[in-house]
Order: sequence, then structure tokens, then C-alpha cells
Amino acid sequence: MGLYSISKSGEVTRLSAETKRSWTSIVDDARLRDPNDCDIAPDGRIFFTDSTKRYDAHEWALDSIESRPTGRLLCYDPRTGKTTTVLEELRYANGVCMAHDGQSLFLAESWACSVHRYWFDGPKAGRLECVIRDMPGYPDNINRASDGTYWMAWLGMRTPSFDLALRHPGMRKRMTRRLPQDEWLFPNINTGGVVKFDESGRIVETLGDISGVSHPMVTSMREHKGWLYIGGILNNRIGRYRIPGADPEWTGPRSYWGAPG
Amino acid sequence: MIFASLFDVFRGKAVTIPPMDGALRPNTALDDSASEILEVSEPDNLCASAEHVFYSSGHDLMRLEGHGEGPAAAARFDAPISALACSAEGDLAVGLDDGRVIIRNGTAERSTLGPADFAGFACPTALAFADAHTLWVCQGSATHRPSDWVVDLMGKNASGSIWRVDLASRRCERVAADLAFPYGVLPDPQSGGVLVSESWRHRLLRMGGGNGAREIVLDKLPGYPARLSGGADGGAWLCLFAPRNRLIEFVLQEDAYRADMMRSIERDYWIAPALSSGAAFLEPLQCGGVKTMGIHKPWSPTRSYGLVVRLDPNLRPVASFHSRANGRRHGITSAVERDRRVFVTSKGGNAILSLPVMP
Repeated sequence: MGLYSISKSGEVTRLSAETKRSWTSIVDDARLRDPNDCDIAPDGRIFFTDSTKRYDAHEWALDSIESRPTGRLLCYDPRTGKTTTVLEELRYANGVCMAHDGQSLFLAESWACSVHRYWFDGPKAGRLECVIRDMPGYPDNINRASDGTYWMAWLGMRTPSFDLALRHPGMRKRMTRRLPQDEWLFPNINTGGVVKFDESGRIVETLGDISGVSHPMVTSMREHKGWLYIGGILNNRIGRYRIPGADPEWTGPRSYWGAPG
Repeated sequence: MIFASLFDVFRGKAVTIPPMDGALRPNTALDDSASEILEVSEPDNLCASAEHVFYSSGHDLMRLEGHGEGPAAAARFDAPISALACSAEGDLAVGLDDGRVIIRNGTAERSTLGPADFAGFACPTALAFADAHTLWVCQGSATHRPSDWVVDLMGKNASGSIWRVDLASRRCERVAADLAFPYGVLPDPQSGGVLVSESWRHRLLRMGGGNGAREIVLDKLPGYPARLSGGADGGAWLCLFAPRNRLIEFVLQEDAYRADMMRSIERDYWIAPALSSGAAFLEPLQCGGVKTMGIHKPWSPTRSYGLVVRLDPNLRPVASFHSRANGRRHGITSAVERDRRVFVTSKGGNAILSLPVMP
């Protein structure tokens, strides 16, 4: 697991697979176990999340049962080739997306049901603000929308029984010892959707598949030329939604880097 | 194996449930082979007289008509119907959620028994006539109504009782007490007693016979048994209204969590058995139930299930009909055999189904 680049000719290069080991950890936590989302700052630095130090990517959902803050926001600098840890102690660090100001990014913290804004440049550099707190569902990847707002995938819903289990750590511990994994209580990730929020964190639109028939557990989405493409890592389908009134010429790369040539 | 159990003190004993195996091996008969003869809102208790098949749905008592015709309303009550029975003579006993048991013939009401006749509280969950003058009554609980069954289960109560009522003298005799939600009763003409399904203890009992003994007929069932009815071959039909689930059995041992859950969470969203599940996004989900590649796995742990079991004359399971975790015909509460077919109520699936009975 790590951060890779793919050239136009399909050549894959590993950029980073580790960050600095923390002083207090007994287990070597330098290694990346669950890199989840990345985005590129105007100066070329790549900000990306490593969701948890405790589980590999295919076991990501088990991290919800512990809900320990071991996620990190990392930064790979192509000028030095080094990866540094920017933020620590996040409860499943997930989506990363550059804000339109080019000085800050939005960061989803899945098990905390929150979205934060982090300034990596400019007068507010180093500041972290929570812009959405206490969501009824779990946030996942974040991408830019053509109207200056942001799309956020929503991977599942909180359930009263799971929220209550979080207040009973002993119960969760005994559950994992006395029951096989398939029987464990999970957050309800058989449902999902997409949320749109603006710069201030106000939710302006919600697209849901509450029954989870077509698109359970939406983990990523991307706007491209007037359509919103929807995917989930456990799904066998990619959805497409015509966004009413969206700019049919808008693409993500153009929003970041301007018109080619 | 022996040494492993020594560590149970430290790491906790594994919670296990009986597997569905042998005659109970899963199939999809209720979803694929059964024909839906009626779409009804929460049909509950079927019973057959010499001429008719009746069923209950909420406050309504309905009569199934012959081929191709819709059901006919037989009566409407001021409380939801919780149990039904027909006698060979055409009398009908109707248990209501508020505790009354009404005996009628045609449209004439012959008598009404109330909580006062049953030691102060009544929760009629199942009824059966032994003969024209004797009615067996299952009282599920001494503290909860039939519709509050999930509170009784998650509260780990065992206050149910079995009553024999002499209809001529209105004398009610308690035959057994301290049962964990008796939910089905079938008279046994040989012993003069009854076969009873004790739901929260997942077993069938025989009791009330001449020698007064209580005997376990079938235990370690993989679900919660509900109504019983006689089979044409001398056997019986047993409905299991919900499956056992290891997480639920674990929560039943977690007193602090369970108390918090029952106090602070709406009942539909408890970690508890249900007649149907998966419709609301606030319901609990277990790891195995996560949809993958668009598939809800049929083996996944579930709070609701559909299961009817055919018992032979020795009351051993010989065949079973299932609606699995990904099926729709869940919450089977009663079955009745007639003319080589068995009718089944799927209370969770809002349907009355019909299955052919193989000889």
C-alpha cells in the first residue's frame, strides 16, 4: 500500500509507502496500511490520507468497531521525495479535496461523522476547523463540483444500536471475542448516497439510496461534463446522474489546472 | 477442546446457536415454490373449520373463499386479533391483544373470557379446541400484551402459562406456568394433553396429559417457534417466526447494553428478532449482511427469516420450507393444512402462501 503515480503511457511509479514513525508507538507505524484519498495542491504537493494504522484496506470496516483515532493526513513533496505526517489522531481519515482557494483542503473523518477544513498555505496555514459535525451518516471521498461547491460520498448511515455500542466499549470487545466476524454489529453500510456542501460546510443537496438497492455504500463520485458518476468499492456497478443545470463543459482537471495548452 | 474451555473465564465463551441442518437444511421454497394466494397486511393466525379457512389481519377476522375469489370479512373487533381457533362444531375462539378471548358461533357471541378469568392478566398468543367444550389457551406473558412480544423477549421474561378452559362452566385451570412465551398449542388426543411451543426457549413441550408430566419433545430449534397445527398424516406443522441470531443471543447476555438499548432506542431498531427487516436504514446491520457486488448473501445473519417445518407423527422434523436472509416471505406465524395443501401466513411479508404437501 502506498502512493503511486501513473503516467499517460500507463507506467506505474511508487512515490511513497511510508511516513515518519511516531515516537510513542511500539508497533512500527511508519508503514501505510490504508491510504484512502489524495489530492494535489497547486504547488504539486500531494496530500493524502492513511485511514487507520490498525487495519489493512480490505478490512477497513472493522476499524469502525474500534473507532480509535489512528488515521493520518500525510503530505508527499515531490521536490524532496519525502512524506510527512500533517495531522494525526483522526477517526478514519478519508476524503481529501482541495478547496477552490488553493490554500486549504477539506478532510472527511468517517467514524467521527465530521468534515474538517485544513489550511496548508496562506495566512491561516496550520489551522484546522470542523465545518460539518455530527452527520447522520459516514462521510467518504470529497470532490469539487462545477458550481464552486463540493460533492461528498456518504458510505452508510449511523444506526441507534451502533451508536449505543460505541458508548459500551466492553460490549464491543466481548462481541469480537465471543462471536465470529460475520455476526459483528456494523454501521449500516447497506445504504448510501452523495451530499453536496458549500465552502462554509452547509449542506445544499442530498442524493440518497436509502434502500441500498442500486447504490449501497457510495464511496466515491466525480462530476464530469454535466454528469455525476457514482461508485462504491463493494458494488458491481457505476452510476451516472445528470446534474440539472450543471456546466456541460466542466471537468475536474480543468478546474484544477486550467484549459490544456 | 477441554483445555480451550479453561480460557473461557478470561476471553469469554463463544456464543453459538444450533445449525439449520438435516430436515432443516435451507432452501428457497417459500420464495420460489410457494404461490401467493393473497396479499394481506400482516396476516397472522390461520385456522380451519370443516367448511372454511379463517385468518386474522389486524382487527379483522377474514374468511378465505374458494378458487379465485377474494377473502370475505367475517367480523371486526375493537382490538387487534392475537390468536384464533376453530372447533369441529364450527365454534370460533378469538383472542384479542387486550386480553379478551371471545367464543362465537357464526355471528352469535357465546361467551367472553377476560383477564379476570386468567389470574388478572391475559396475553392470548394461541388457542386450540380439544373438543366442543374444552379450549386450550396459551398466555405468552404475565406482563406484556401479545403485540409487545419483543419487550418480553429482550426483558428475558418467562411468565407465560397454559390454561385449560371448560367452556360450559367457564372454569379456567392453569396447567403450566413459568413458561418463556408459549406461542403455539396443539391438542394431543392420545394423552389428553397438549403440545406447546415455548418460543423464548426454542423448544416444543408436551404437557397436561394424564400423568401430569412435562416432557421436552423437540429442543435446540434454530428459530423462535410460533403456532402449531395438525397435519393430515397425524404429524404437525410448526412455524418459526424469527431465526436465532448469535448477535441477538450475545446481546441477551449483555445486561447493561440491553437495558440502555431498551430504554433509549425505538423498538423497531433494537438488536432483536423481527418479523421483517432491512426496510429501514436505522436498523442494525451485521458484517455478513453487507451487500457485496449487488448481492445480499442468503446465508447472512439476519433478524428475520421465513421457516415452516413439517413434523412426522413422532414429531420429528421431516421437511422444511424457507425464506432466507435475502427473501421476502419472512415472519411465518401460522400454517394450516387442507386438501393436500398447506396455507401459511407470512406476517412479515404481508402475504398468505400456499404450498403443495408431498405424501
